Amino acid sequence: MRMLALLLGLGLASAGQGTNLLVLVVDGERLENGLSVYAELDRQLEQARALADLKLRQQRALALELHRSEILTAIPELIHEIAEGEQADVVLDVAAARRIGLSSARDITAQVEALVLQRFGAVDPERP
Amino acid sequence: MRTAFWLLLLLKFSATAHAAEVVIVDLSDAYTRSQALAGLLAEVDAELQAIRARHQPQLQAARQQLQRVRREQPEVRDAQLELARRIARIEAAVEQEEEALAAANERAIAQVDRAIARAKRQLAQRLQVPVVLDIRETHYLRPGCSCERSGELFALLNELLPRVSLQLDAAERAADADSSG
Repeated sequence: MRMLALLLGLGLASAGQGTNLLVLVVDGERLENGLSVYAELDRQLEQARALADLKLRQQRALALELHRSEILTAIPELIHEIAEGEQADVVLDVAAARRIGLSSARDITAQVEALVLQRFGAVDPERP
Repeated sequence: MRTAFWLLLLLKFSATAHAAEVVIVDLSDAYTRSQALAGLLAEVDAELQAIRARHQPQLQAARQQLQRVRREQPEVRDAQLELARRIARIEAAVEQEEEALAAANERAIAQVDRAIARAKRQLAQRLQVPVVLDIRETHYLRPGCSCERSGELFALLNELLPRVSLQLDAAERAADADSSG
């Protein structure tokens, strides 16, 4: 009886856990296109395009594009940073996790977004 | 004591079974780890050199001849025109053979792609996972992770398809040879 309880207990535990690898997931599409910081950059880009001074307009637009590019370049590094901090084995894209039916893995998209905002959120409109 | 033994056994079984749930392969160095692809690469290279070796002497001779005629008999237009046509025919033949080689290469690569898909399915079956993921579907992979099974995939692939041959159309090749002569 005790053995049966033990077996059941272990079975349930492993079914809930899903894997003994620490697998995290991230929404790559959202990080590439859907972050609030991008909307802010787009808004500032629109403002920059309305500037009368051509040189200033081009400088602002270039600075904003560069800022966006910096964010996109930093995202993989931020994911690595979080994964290493969590001692994760794998960070899968949500689409891949869905393909293998892995629904229990923790989603770190919000964590990455928070780091992006913390490090790149402040866009200085005066920056040339 | 017995309970502890069973517990340990179960824990071990549980860990092993679930460790294989995420399986990732990295195919970025397939051109060196797949015997078929490595062989194909060498064969394509050899074929390219053979095409050049087949046509280069005629091409060079025709170009030198044209230069000589232009220098020595600039007024003989027909001879110059005929040589220019011959050069164009040889160049077209080279291009045609290179295109045939590229097409054969694509067919061979498609064969390897199908074998890779089969190897992935077999690996998934062996490891009891629904699907084998490609490293491009991950954003991070811990170095040395037990989920990284590229070695097994390449072993399977090399068993399934140890070599692949370029199926160059012989008739096409003969036609090319005729047109370049």
